[in-house]
Amino acid sequence: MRVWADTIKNFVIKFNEKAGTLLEEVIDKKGLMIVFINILCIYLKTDMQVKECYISTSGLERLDTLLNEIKIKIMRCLNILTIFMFDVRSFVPIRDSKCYELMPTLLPLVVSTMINFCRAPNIDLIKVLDVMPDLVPR
Amino acid sequence: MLASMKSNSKGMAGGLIALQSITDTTNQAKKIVSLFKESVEPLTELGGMLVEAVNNELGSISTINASNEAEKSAKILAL
Repeated sequence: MRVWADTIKNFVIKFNEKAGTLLEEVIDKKGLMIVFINILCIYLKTDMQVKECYISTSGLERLDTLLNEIKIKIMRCLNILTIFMFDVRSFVPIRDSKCYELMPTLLPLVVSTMINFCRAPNIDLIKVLDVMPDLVPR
Repeated sequence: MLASMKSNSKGMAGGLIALQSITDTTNQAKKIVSLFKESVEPLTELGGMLVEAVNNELGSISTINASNEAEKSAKILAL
């Protein structure tokens, strides 16, 4: 699955680098978008796994690292596609694209992930983020 | 290469690795677009199969007795 995600990421990044409208090839592929969403929804059911959160927090470190690496690649692709749809090609009728059609499925998933991950009592956010140590209250 | 992605699991993995390498090194827009057009269907199908396989495997891991960590680890390594 890692190789699969790498291959798709290569296509999306190269289409994006070439500018123009090459990414239209991708945003119209509904099957591909569904696989993206299904990958984000993969998780191992454990007590540690935060509910309604696509970040893998199963507590099995190797599995979490592997799954989250893949999910980050998928999120990078989706980020590029979203920027393309709303910023770069805002004058094209994107509402007809399959990627746009799936936004109502994807966006609530992203929002609930952020909220549930940040609220999870078993997640040490300071440790996870490991950024801006000066802003962390002591 | 694309045909091998539709074949047995070893051929599929080989085809996918080959495609990944080509997408890593190809920079010509025309080539990359035609490669995408040719490969998007088998890639989508393969992606769906991979998701299903991983979900099945994770389902079987979650049913392993919590005390059997060795079996769990072996299954995760195999993913």
